[in-house]
Amino acid sequence: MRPIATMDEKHHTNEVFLDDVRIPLGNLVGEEGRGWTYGKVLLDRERMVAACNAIFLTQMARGIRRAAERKLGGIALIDRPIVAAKIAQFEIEVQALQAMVLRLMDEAARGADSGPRGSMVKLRWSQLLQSGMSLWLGAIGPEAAHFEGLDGAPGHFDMPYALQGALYSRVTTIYGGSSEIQHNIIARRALGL
Amino acid sequence: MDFVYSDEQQMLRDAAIRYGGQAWSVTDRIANLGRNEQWSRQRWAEIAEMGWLMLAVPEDRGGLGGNPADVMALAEGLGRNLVASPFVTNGALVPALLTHAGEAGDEVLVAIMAGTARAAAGLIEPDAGYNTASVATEARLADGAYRLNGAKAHVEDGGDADWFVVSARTGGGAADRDGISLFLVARDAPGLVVERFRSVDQHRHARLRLDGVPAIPVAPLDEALPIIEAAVDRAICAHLAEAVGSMEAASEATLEYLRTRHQFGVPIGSFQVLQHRAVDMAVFCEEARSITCWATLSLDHPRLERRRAVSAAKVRVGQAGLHVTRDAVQLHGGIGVCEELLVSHHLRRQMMLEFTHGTSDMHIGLFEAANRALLAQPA
Repeated sequence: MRPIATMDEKHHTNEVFLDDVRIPLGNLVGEEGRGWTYGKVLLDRERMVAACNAIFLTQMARGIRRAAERKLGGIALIDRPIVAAKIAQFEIEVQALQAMVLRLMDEAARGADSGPRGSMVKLRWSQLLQSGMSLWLGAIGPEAAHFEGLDGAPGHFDMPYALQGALYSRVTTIYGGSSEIQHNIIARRALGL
Repeated sequence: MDFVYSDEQQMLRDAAIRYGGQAWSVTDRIANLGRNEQWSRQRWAEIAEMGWLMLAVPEDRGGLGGNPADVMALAEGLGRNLVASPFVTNGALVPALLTHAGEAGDEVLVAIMAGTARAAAGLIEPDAGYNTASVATEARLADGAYRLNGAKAHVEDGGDADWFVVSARTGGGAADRDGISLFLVARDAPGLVVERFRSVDQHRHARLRLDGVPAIPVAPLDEALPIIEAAVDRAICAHLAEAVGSMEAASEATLEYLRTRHQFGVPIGSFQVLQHRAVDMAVFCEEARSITCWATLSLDHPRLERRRAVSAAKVRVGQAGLHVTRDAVQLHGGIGVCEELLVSHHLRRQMMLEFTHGTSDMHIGLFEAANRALLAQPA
């Protein structure tokens, strides 16, 4: 295993090398040659994990609101129409996504196939994570440039987490099937194109 | 310049691109940046040796007397390979702030041009955002010398500075446009606390606390705000040029990747959906380059016209840079977020440029205010 350094400066990715690795026959999952079929099912399930994550976007909205309470020249950011409108728009989209997730869970509980709705949820969750992170970072202002204090200098209390989050969020539209792939899946499976 | 570089400007740009390609390879960047200060000092000496720190300084003060378009050409070239030295701060912002400085200012300019000292500007304060008129730091005159008390929330490129040009109040209330003066403060001055920070684009910034710090005035007393605003606008335009160089490099690297990366048996560039994305990136680059030229040419215009042009460009180039580099990462896929590819560094720089000398939200407000004021003027 070799670690891969990523731009968010968190370690969550490795390169894995397999060189004549011997594994017991009993460790074969299912039938030989059907790995991708199983993988697709797993990826579909993974997209449902995105659905779980969608629930946490409300916490993020709370964090953004708190960061936007910062006063600039005596006026809180959140009291500026341009900022308030952006946060409200974000929360409306989060609300819509959560309603989508609840509907999907309701159907799943009744044993119905969700179809490509998992793809839709993953698509929207990753987009909202990215726009939410931008809002959070925007509320921090000039101190967003203070990623790491040198010689023990204390930084802004939202740093480096807000910036690491914003950087990490870029990979969510790439992993688990990129947004482009999700569009293809929805086009094929939901729209029959 | 008009909208096309002269031969000299083209040469300046090409020299900066060549330098960046040689001295700032990705491997060296990753191995040394951020923490290895010796390495960045060596890079700084090279930049001084090229004479680039003399470009914007007037000839009668020992510089080359270059105009904003010359600075644009150079900054664009440096942006291509993401040279993370504090060129804009030392080569554009500080010289403009020291336009009216006397001998003390000349001494600092000479040291900057020679590469023996670095300077930075402390212009924004806690809870003031990027508003350079909101100054609570006080300057008091006692026994023939000024002493400063207050704080500066963010000093762009201040992490390695030997000198700080700092705004302070000699009159008026905390948000008045009048009563602001500019002072020169040495890094080792008694009473000065410098807290240093590393940024994700590998620039090093600072926060200052000033407690009875001795300082030398370097601008007409009480009347420094117009000088500050004009200097910051010059820095903004130089950063826009850097952003243009950076986003074009990211866009071209992506195009190359679309042509060479194969998936499903064909180059991914053959997919129409990705072709359209690449086209949008190219259009954004065109827009950004054009509005950067326009804003750079406005730097010598009357204040409101300059404000309108520079803020418009700051907003649009900021949006373009983020769009282009986010898509550059996206279209590269997993490898795009990795440290070893320059596209992820371009994205980080564009993200940080959005926070340099005002965010898009702030400049939309400044644009609109200037727009209204201009419309209200009699024709």
